[in-house]
Amino acid sequence: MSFIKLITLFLAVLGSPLFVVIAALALLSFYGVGIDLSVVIIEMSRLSDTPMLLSLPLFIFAGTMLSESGTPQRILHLSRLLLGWLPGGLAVVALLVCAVFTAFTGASGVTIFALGGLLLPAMLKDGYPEKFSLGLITTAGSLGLLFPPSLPLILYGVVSETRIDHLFLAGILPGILMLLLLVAYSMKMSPPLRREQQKKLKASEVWAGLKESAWELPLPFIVLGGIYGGIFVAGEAAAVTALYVLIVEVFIYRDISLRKLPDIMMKSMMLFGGILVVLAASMASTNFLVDQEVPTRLFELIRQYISSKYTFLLVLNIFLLIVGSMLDIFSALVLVVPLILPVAEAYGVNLTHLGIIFLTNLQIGYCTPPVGLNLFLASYRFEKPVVELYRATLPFLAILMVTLVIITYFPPLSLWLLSFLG
Amino acid sequence: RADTRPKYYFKIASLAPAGSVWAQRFDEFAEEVKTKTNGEVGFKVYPGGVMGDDPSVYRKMKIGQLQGGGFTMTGIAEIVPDFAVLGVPFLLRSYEEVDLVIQGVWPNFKKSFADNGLVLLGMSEVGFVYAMSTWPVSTVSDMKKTKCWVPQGDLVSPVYLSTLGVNATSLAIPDVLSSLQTGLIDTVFNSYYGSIVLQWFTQTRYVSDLPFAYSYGVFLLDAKSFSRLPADYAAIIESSALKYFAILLNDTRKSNADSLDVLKKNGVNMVNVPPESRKQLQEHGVKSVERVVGKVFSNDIYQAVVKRLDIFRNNHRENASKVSIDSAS
Amino acid sequence: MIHNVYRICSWLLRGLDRAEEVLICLLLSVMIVLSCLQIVLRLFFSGGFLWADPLVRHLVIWVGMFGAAAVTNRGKHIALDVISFLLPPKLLPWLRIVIDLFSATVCGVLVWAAIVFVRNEAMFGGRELLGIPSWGWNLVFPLAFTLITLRFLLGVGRELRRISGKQESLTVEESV
Ligand code: NA
Ligand code: NA
Repeated sequence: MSFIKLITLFLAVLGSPLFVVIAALALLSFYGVGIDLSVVIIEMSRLSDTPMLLSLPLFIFAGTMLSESGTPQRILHLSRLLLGWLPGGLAVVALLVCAVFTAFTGASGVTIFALGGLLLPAMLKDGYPEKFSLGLITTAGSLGLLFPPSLPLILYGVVSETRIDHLFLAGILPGILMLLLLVAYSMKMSPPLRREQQKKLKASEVWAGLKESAWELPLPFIVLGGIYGGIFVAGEAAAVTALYVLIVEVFIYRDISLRKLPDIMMKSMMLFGGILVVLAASMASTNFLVDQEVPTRLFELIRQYISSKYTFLLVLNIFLLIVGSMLDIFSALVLVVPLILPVAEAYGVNLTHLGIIFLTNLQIGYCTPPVGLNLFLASYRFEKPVVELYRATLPFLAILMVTLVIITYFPPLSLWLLSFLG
Repeated sequence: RADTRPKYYFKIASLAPAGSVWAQRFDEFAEEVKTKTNGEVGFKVYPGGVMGDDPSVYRKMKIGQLQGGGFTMTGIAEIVPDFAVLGVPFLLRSYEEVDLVIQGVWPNFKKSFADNGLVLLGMSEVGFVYAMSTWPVSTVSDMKKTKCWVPQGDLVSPVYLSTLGVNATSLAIPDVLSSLQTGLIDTVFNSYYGSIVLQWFTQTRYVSDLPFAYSYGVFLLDAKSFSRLPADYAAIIESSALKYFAILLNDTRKSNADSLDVLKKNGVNMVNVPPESRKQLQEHGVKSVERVVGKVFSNDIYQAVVKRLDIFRNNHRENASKVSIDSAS
Repeated sequence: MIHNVYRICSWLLRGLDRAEEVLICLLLSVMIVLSCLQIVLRLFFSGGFLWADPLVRHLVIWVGMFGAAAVTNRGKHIALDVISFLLPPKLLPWLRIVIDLFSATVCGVLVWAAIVFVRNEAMFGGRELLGIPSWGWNLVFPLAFTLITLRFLLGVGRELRRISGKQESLTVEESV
């Protein structure tokens, strides 16, 4: 039995679909303890009791539409009009736009491909050093995962059964802190403005830019205002966003033709399907762990060595950084959260706060050598050796680590906004 | 690990959280059974819904991953519809009625569960649930203006509310508090104790002072596993279950009574429901029964309940009149 | 002869792909419209359908599982590929065959488990929705996993043809 499991793990590192590997391990484990294999499907069918799951496919669809439309260019254009005249303005623009865009589309590489391609030449032209620009764009590719309605945030809510409206609020201040530190560093590192770049802010241009993006600017307010204004729950917010984006991009801006719509639907539902089967398979493997009381025993084991909550969080961070650099964010969430959740709860960690810690770690994992996804995406997109990107992202990585420490050991940063919810 | 397991091993799942009264009493029950059977019968509890909701637990009992579970009425009524009968709004009005009716229909329930391969061992309760609202709801016309919540899977309450002319929103329990906060719903149903445990009372500052419906649950074992037990062990389990689930019932009623004080101390207001509105609400209960009987649960079980209730209420009336005659003479 | 069988098969498979596409687009559209309709009904008519939310929750599973079947077609599943680049390129097609065979086996077992599950659902009941019993809604698992298994097997066939040098004729037919 364990020999077959070993082969399965070997096939996993050789590139087998992750859902197949997890399902195989779950099937073998249940078979090993004599439980009927249909338990695997019983667990998968539990997903239809999860109301929050609805928001995943709908936000993915909305995000895919946004990234296939002219929205990135329009938002970038407007931000440059508004902030481009500042010293370091373009770097700030890059960080802000990437963060907003990642929040809506997820860090699926879209940010680096769609926005990075526009931003890098612009930064080089304005005299930013290449290494700095590459590092900034690579890091920014996963910036914004803490802002609503980011998909990993929703997935954490689904897996941990934490309220998604809470998670959305909890991510805002830590996300802003991260942005502020990166912005401060970027402004310090930016070249001085040349004369022709100064005094560019013209009211007429800004007005035109605002008019151009008029239909996209309300999006964050639809998502947040709808949820916190009591008009709809998070799942419905996703439906409204999807419908709104569809109408705006297809009928108002006409960036996407009706004939292209089925393609975009397929593309986004395939992305969702890929995540759903991993989630489904992990439901089964998690149930085996629960059946065998692994989380309880894990806690008892850890408790022998670690007594304080703060030491536990330190070890957790190191563990998650390693996991984050090896696994993609969705797999990491569905596999690790069910295991860690009961342990963290036993140490008295607030589960909403835990979610923010998880996401910050996994976000950093995107840029961590040797296998951080963003490094490879940027290497592919900008045709640079990965090793060069390792070096370029190091200072940014250091800043992200500082925010991780603050986020971990200063829970009010995550939880303060929640206190207004009553 | 398998070697250290007792000879007869029951894995039990429950939605009740670890450390709750339910889990505590169940541990005591399990301990007593273990001692009386010389350690040959053992229970392992999976609390807090880690094995899934009621239908999932039932499925897992059918394939042998689990051997028992603590179920809520709405969850298990999907499988054994007759069990839903006591949840009809305004059918039962006091704990006295509850105890007498359950005593009367216990054999009916026992048989319905047995037909589905389940052994009924004990009943537990949430208690009487009250309409709790963000604003004072006193009369029937107030009630019609509410944005009411109904539990997901509940088939009876939505029918009642719609005969009353109230539009209900069906939500899972975890979504209720946030929906109250955002104003998606403004009226929920819960026991005093439940509204504290789930923190709903922080939003619903007004409780309509009229028991709306009885909410309850059940402890079941898988008949196949149960039948493997020697007769004396089975008897031990049955008698211990009766004992500890009776204690649990007392615990629950006491916490509900205590919770009422806590609610009042926390500034929750009891809203008086005038007699004519009470009467109207109760009559609608009977009307809605006509729409669900034979569909949601059988007519047989309903008649069995009504019969017990009539006997009880007639006795009660006679007793009451006797008392008044006695005091008059 | 074999060539004709192959042509008919690939024609059938393309039909299947089209049907899958239509199904996915339809399900997604229904999900969006129904969820928005619920909001409108609640806000302006203080009503709504009690069946709508459970229905949408089932549709999410249907659209996701068929989405996963579509992903299998294009070999784009989430995977943890960390050492295959160490292998000599000549071995890669064989590695893909091993992986596809392994995946087909696992998904085959899942199909069997799903059939047992659906049979149990039909026997022991469960909540019906819009007149369709619970086993009907859960048919998505045997159906989607069958489709996924089939596609992993097709992947094996494709690699084998490629290795045996029939790559050109295959790509021509696929592009038709
Ligand atoms: Na899981
Ligand atoms: Na990663």
